[in-house]
Amino acid sequence: MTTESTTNLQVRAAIPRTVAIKGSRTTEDFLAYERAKKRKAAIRRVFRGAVGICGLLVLWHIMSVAYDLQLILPTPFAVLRRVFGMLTLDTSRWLYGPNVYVHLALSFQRAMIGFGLAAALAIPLGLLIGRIPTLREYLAPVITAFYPVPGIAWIPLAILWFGLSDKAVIFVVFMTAFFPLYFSTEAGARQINPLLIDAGRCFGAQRLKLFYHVVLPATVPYITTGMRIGLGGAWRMIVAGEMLASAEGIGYMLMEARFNFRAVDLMTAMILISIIGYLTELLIVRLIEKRTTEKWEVKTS
Amino acid sequence: MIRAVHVEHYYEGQNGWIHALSDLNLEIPANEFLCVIGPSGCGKSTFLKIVAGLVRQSSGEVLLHGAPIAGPGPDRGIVFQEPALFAWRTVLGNVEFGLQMQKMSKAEARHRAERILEIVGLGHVMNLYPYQLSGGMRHRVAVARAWALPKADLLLMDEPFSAIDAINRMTLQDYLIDTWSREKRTVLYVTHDIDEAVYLADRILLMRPSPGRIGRFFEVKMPRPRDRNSAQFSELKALITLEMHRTADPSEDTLAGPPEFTA
Ligand SMILES: Nc1ncnc2c1ncn2[C@@H]1O[C@H](COP(=O)(O)OP(=O)(O)OP(=O)(O)O)[C@@H](O)[C@H]1O
Ligand SMILES: [Mg+2]
Repeated sequence: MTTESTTNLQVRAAIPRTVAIKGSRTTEDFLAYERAKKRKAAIRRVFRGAVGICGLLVLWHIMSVAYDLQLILPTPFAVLRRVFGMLTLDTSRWLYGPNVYVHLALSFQRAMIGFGLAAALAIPLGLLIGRIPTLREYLAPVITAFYPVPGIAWIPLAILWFGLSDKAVIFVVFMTAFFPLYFSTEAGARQINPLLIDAGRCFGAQRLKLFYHVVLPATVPYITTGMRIGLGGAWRMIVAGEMLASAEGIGYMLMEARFNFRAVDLMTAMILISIIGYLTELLIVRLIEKRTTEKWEVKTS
Repeated sequence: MIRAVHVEHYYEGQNGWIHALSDLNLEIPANEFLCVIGPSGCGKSTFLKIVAGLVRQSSGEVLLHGAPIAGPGPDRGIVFQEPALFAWRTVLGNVEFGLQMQKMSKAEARHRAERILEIVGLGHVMNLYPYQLSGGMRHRVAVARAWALPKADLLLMDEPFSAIDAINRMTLQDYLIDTWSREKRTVLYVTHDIDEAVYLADRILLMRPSPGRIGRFFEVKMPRPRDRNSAQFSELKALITLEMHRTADPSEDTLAGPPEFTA
């Protein structure tokens, strides 16, 4: 023990002390520089995004004023004022029955029910068909046969079946959200690294346990991709469905605004749709991703 | 414990069938530590996967405790050639996986997993996810996952330490031998490190390539712990190296020395 420590000391003494070169970069310098770089990049990104949006607004304003199109293309200021007016429940020239929040809430509810049902069916089905070849052989042709029919083509049939009601709208939303969810999940489940399945089985996971503890988590990146596409589809379809098959909701507002020749209200409703659509995506998909793929650092190609 | 009788295995290749194993006959008695060595592609992993129940042999029979192998299960602890960790579980979660599947109580599973992780030297990274580990650390997690299984009386290890640094590798080898001598179980250990095989094994199986088949067995009788610097150790290593070079040529058929060598 003692001999060892003395030799260590001797070795250490034999190494000459190095003196830092004047003006060379220290670790603190490096970290500060990296921090500043990140901050600058963030500011620049926000700035550039704002420039893009402002450019659009300016172009829009010029079009509207220069060609005197206020009636069919109101200026951005008029639309923004109207957005603000609607959200603060300004009732002047209100032609759409209940207030805007009721319409939005109804649309949101229908979209969520339709999307929720689609997810509840598509994800388990995708996992099962992705992993069980026999099931795939039975069911893949059935599902593929429905796939080319666009969601919007279901609207007339939905009205025939469910009348002009919530159910008809929910049905078409379901039909639209189902396919992207299903196809992503199925592809994800089919492409799992076989070694992970092997590991799961060797360590005692069978059937449902294997699905829950291995197949499902391994497929999550694909499921969130499917959710993002499905949710976008759901929002598009809610508007189309309500335009044709409902007397309430944001789609109904759009249709009514057109009948009343109120371009300002039309564009306002569109802006609200954009905002709500963005927020739901943020709330549902981003939240799931934060708790799963981002934590595990796995991504789909 | 394990008995392989006329085992043949073919894989489907781009153009025709690949003959991965040819007429494999072998018996592994209970509690033996068998190391399998041989050049790349000679079917070592294939044989291991057959015993694990992940691959079914094309023909012939492999018996485990006298019964044909029906499928994979936690009665065999396995370390794959690649770590194959679950990205969605922490290091601790990965080691606990096999215990949770067997309905071991939460506290007991945690305790056991923590203890094994300490042993493989990963106590300080238990709560990290696999992507945050170095390559060698990932392999050690895979080893810990297999060692944690409580009821496994057969350990299947496919080059488990080959990606681990020399110091940790020696520690793990000693630990493996130590636990194995205390609570005996059968170990089927694939490696291409001759030194490691001579250090660990009761018996070494040298396999020959194209098609993969049994080359020759070497009994290692040296008492443990073995001295890597002893003359006997070096002599056996040299002999196996020589034999491996010679048998790499598939046309070479005669054996140098007796078919069963004892050291
Ligand atoms: N899934 C597979 N499909 C087709 N061929 C395979 C497959 N797995 C292995 N093979 C072939 O079978 C032969 C034996 O492979 P195996 O993985 O058992 O070799 P090995 O001895 O473990 O080699 P290494 O030391 O490189 O791991 C090789 O020729 C390989 O190309
Ligand atoms: Mg191998």
